[in-house]
Amino acid sequence: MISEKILKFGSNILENFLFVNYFLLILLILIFSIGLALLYSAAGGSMEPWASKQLIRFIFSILLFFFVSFVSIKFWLGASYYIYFISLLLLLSVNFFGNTGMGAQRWINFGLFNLQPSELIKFTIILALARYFHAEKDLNLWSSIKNFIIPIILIFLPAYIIFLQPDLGSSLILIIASFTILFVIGLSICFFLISGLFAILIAPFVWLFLLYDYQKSRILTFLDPLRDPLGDGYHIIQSKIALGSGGLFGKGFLNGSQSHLNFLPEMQTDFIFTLLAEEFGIVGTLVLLILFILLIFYTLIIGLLCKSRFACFAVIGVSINIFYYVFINTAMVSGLIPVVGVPLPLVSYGGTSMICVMFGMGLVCNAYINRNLMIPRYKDGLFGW
Amino acid sequence: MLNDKRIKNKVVRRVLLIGSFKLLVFSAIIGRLYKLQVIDREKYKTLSDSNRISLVYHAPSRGKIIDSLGDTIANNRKVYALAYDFSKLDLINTIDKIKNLINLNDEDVNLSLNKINSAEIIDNTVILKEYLSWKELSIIYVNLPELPGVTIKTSSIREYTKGSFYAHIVGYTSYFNNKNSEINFTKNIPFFLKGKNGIEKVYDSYLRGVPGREEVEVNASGKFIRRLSLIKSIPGKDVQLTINSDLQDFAHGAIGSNIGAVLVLDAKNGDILCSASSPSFDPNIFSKKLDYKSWNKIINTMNAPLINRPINGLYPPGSTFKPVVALAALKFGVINKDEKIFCNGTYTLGNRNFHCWKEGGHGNLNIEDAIAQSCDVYFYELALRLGIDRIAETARQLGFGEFYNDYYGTPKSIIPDKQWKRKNFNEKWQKGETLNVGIGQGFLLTTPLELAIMTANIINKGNIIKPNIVKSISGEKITEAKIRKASNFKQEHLNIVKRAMYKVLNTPKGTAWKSRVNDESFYISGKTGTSQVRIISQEERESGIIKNKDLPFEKRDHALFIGFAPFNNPKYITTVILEHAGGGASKAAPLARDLLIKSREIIEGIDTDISVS
Repeated sequence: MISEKILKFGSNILENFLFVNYFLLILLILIFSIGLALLYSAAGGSMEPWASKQLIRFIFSILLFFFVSFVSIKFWLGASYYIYFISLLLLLSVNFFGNTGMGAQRWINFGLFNLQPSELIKFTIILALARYFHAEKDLNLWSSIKNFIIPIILIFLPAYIIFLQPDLGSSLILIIASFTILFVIGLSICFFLISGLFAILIAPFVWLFLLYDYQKSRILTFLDPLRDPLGDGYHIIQSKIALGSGGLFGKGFLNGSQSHLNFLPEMQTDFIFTLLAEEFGIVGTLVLLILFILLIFYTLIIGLLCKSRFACFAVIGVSINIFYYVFINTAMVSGLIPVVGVPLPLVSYGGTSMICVMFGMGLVCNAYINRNLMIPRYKDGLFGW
Repeated sequence: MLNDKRIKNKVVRRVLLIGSFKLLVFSAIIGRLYKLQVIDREKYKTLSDSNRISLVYHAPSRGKIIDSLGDTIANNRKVYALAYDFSKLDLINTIDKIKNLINLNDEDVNLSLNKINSAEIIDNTVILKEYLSWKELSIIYVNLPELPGVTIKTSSIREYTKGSFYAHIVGYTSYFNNKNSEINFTKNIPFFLKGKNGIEKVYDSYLRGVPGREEVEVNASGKFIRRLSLIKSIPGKDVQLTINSDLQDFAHGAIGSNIGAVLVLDAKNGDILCSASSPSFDPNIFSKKLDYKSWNKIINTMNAPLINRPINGLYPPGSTFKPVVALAALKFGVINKDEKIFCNGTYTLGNRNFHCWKEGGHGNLNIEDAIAQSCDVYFYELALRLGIDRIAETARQLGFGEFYNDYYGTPKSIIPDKQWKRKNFNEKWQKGETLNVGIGQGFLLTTPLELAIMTANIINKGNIIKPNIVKSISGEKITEAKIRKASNFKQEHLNIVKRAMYKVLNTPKGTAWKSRVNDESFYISGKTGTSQVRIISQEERESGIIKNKDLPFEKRDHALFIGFAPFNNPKYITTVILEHAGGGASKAAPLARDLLIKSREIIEGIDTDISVS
């Protein structure tokens, strides 16, 4: 069995490539290519300053993808909590040493990219949750109060730290995505009912005592974008104009006036979908959406194929994460939900989200390779199983 | 598949549930995209265009106004202003540097600096000094590298090269502003002028031109990216006047410091060759931003310099109205050319005495001599025989009260009749009032132009002419008929009046004998007028009428003269009115004579023998 070694790298390293899921890889490359073209256009038809850097990151991420795929899944299972705690520490350190951007502390500078631990934790928490429920005998809430408390702590600790940054959006997304994962891996419905009730009870206190004015303002602006057309509403309005004016086939590559004339500042990051819509119309947006839907459902199916809980849960978690990225980003730029800083995976300019997504996809590929592997519930050794 | 039997089914169920949820969410997103990108695409396309496209209007260059010989009267001149981009650098330091180079008015600078925080300023620049001279401009240009933030802004203003001599004729211009509802532009058009007065106003539609329209793509901060389309501006048309500048200059010189109006018309077609109004003003002050000092100077100067006297000035015509009464009397047959009326110096109506200007009277006079000697008693009698309504009717036939076009406007002149009296005073017309009108006094008020047109209509062999001041527009002659219609006066009657006007200058007893010209080819004819602006009381008559020069200025008589020359084939018609200058014969007639001689000299190049034998 290949699972006997932590790393399968050896004399027959090339053999590993035979097992890789190339359909998955091609989907990723296609999505990335669209993003690259858009970054090229966003710079006014130039590889600088974004496209070239993004390409380098992607090459690095592909290497990461293979690395994550080829490492024994048992290693990832064994290292789950450690990875989770490391990312938690990084997240905390941002609150003390991070660079400030847009009024919030979010990054640690790593040269090639600015690491945003709040992105990282969205994937590492999957590992932690999958690890936890892999080892649990029963997922019934009533069998043990521990099944209620531990996941809550795993989720709310980072969510609170992110909230303090302050980044309400990311914090909420983390909570929602994690709860979705808990739901899919079969946690009792009672768990969600109790959590929901609790959330409703504390919501007024959060609004009154915990939210900053600008956060309240964003929520209010979402409800009525014209409330402040040059302030908070500006992005939503300009974004809708960019989307709508693209029409069926768009204004043509490199011809998006909304984006190129700076009506949408910083659109190479979270608002890049509008550039796609403006230049390629609904045809362009549908192509990208369909690619994402394929990716999301394909990973979901891979998850179901896995025999071990850990692989199954982790892959479903990655699928759900990608789903929330895509959903929140597209819903945000089309004005369905408030503006929250969520990138479009592999398309938006930015290092952290690309590395995180490719790390997650590496796990999916790993799980796919090891889909028939059965892993015992109990651990033996530090990393091994 | 999961080999864990306990949770396998549950997980599959949940995955199916969440999968459905995902599909639902993506359907919503796609629906939303369909709404934005397909259903509402036109709306957003329009919004996107209005976002990025900015309309820039370019003012056309305004048509020139030129005189009959093609000399420029009104033109456009580029002017330069010193501007400073205050967003960049240290303003005060730069101002000090500029002060070392050119003269900067502290008041203006402070005014500009105060504007920095106001909403008026859009592009972060303030104007430090306007209308730079060539010298200042070149000094600034040379030193530009040492004056960061300083720019020169170019603009265009209207320039009136002949200054005050044409002020009343050409009028002046002002800038369109946003509040102007005439043209619905979305934005201000810099330097787009509209006429405010005179030719500039009346012929504005020709002079103005059509603004150019440029569609410019701008970015979110309003910066120019590229030009999308350009419709060029169409320059305005040049308007050529019938005015002869040499004559105009001469007329102004001849009036000198007098207050009054001078007109010279082409007798054949009514072309206005000269139209001088005194006092005048420099219309160039309206081209620049009008400062209060200049404005106050204009409006506080006595004698209303803004009024265009030849066209709009209102005067009692005095004896210059007598040809009208004479013509009416002949027309209605209340007198014939031979009937004589005796003048003993006083005419009695009821218990009121009406005086002739000549104490002791003129004796027996026929109509020609009565006009030549300007006998008041004779015209009291004629007026009474005619009645006011027949006088007024004849006056109107000779062009009084006529509307020609907006340049002349509707005259405010008063040709009184019974109906007018009823309307304005709700009173019955009195016979004594008819007598006053008979000698051009009373309610009667006329403009200098009306007197000139009247003269033209009397001497023009029965043709009624109309005044004309525009010779051509863009080189194309004005085609509208200058001769309007034939009058219904008998040639015989017109000749009598015309001959009488000849006698005014060319018989020793004529009132303007002293202003005669002995050149056969240029006999001047005309009629003097001295219109009273005060009532002479009985006591004053008894104690001796106070001489004009002993009266306060505003009570002195107006001196009037209407004339034409040469007698046989009249070419020039003139009206001269000098306010409060004294007698028409002594003051207005000599000026009119000089003007007629000068007209001939300038236009035909023929000198007139002015020796008096």
